[in-house]
Amino acid sequence: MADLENIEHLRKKRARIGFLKKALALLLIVAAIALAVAFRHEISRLNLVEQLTSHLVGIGSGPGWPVDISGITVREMAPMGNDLAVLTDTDLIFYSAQGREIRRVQHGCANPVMKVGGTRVLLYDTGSREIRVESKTRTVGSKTMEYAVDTGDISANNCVVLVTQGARYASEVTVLDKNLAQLYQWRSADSRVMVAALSDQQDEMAVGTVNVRDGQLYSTLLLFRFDEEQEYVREELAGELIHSLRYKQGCLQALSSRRLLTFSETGKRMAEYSLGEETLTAFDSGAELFTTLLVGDYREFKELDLAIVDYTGAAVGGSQLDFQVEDSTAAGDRVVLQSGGTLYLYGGGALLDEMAPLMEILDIQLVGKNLYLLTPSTLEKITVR
Amino acid sequence: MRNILLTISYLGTRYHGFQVQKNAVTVAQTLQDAMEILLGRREDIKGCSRTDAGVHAGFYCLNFKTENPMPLPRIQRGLNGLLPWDISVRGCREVPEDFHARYDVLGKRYRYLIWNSPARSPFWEGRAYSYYPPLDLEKARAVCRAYVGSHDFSAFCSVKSDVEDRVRTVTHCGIEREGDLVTFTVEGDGFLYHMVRIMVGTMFWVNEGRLSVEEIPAIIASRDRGRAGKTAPACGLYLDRVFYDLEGLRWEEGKDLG
Repeated sequence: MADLENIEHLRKKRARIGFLKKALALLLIVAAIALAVAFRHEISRLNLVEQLTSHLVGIGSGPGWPVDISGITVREMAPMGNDLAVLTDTDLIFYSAQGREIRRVQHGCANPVMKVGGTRVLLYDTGSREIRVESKTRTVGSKTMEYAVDTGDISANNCVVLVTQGARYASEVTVLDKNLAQLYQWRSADSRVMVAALSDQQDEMAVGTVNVRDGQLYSTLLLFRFDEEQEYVREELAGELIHSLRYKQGCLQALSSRRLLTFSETGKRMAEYSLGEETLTAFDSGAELFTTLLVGDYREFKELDLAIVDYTGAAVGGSQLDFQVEDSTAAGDRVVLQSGGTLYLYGGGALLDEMAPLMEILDIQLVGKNLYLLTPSTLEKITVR
Repeated sequence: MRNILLTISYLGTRYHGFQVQKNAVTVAQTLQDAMEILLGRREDIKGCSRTDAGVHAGFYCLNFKTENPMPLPRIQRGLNGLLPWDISVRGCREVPEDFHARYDVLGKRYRYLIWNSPARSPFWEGRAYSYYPPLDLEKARAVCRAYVGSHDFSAFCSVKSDVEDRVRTVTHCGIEREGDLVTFTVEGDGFLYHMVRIMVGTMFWVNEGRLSVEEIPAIIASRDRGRAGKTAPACGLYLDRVFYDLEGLRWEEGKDLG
């Protein structure tokens, strides 16, 4: 009898626990829905749904590496979160870190250009008026500009900036929001815009123009807020060419042929990393927190300088290299340099590893700690330190 | 009109080479500033050589023409009073009217100073190149012997040079050590752009085992800059002597005329 009572007691206890678990789960679901409704605008602005989808679609097993790409000409590879975007002569392909092909789409471009943003890719054909935006799961949209696109970029929050040449203007810069609706436009009457970048806050852009006066080259850096018609910062760089503009953690980094300038969120110049008299050989400004610079003339001096600069403009490390660098790729403060058949891994500017893969390497791309190697017939992946 | 030859010494660390350049302080510009104050005119000066930024000179010759009758010793003293601490005039003489400091050069001597020690020297920083691996003097001397002679030194010429005739005669090349300071000396009838620095850099590569002494003749014969070693930094290089067919400046091979 006592045993029966104990069993009944246990059964009721388990039923209570089960009920409480279900009630808790239901409460969490309701809370999540309530939060989503309350913050729907923020979620939309931050593309949280798309970010989540983009992340989830890359999860799951895959056939592994290498991936056979025989007969395919790869033009470019770029990281997209933990996954890889590959631009070929005919297609844009997304691969997961496990080697699974997430999506493949024909781009139809003769000379395709790919720019990777947060969860989307901007695609356009050099000299064409058409642009297209793709994600890992769908074609987001397309647009026909009034004039041919010179260059473009897509920000981490998927806004697009396009530079076109106009009939009456030297350059026209158009900013599109994530729905490809025009957000802002600026025209330059006499200077060509060479590079443009968008802040992640969707409220500001940086533009680098070039002009020649009295036989001298001038580049001008302009910062615009989208609620103002004119620039709020204008900085002229005589004798320099602006190679790259990139917003990192709210700061803007402008890389010219002579220096790396860092500007604060208010447009004040915070730091300057000078290249001195050295030649800028290569750079990678794609990492969120760091910019990698390869400086020097190897043909002349048989050495190069590797420098890692963080988003505040402070130099965090560097090395002197006594080998010619044919290709480089960076992720965070990690850099992989290719010299002949040898790959050198640097971290914070210090040599961490040396690898000599037994294959002909055509291109390299570092995504986190995954190093993708393009060979004539395969796409390989190795994990680095 | 007098044609005046100045011999000067300068430490090149703060200067962007000898020749006048826009937006950069050079030795020539600094000298002309001083001459303008002293002589009342900014005279056009002809230097014996174009030295790179950071290169030093123990004995650099230049000439200028002036109508100013100021005595030569006063010119020397006056300029030394106006010039900064790292440039000095060591000689001032009148030379024939048709003398040209650059085109009348018969030969030059360069020295390259190497601080060869694991610990850098604060006294030689910027005045000698700090080279840490122990320098094998026997190997280095063998490299120096390989440089002597008349050769097409294209392999030891900057890729940026557009000089067509690259044959030069190296009459003397040697290396000596005094404690941690090693001096590479080379004398010849002329030197191509970066030639001495590439000769020193190649010697470093031989020392490090990246090249062998036996390869030097083949490298010279290849006329391929890609085969020679690196370009040693400017901070260790000194123009040590310039030779002319002038009394007191004549060239006796390997001898310091004082």
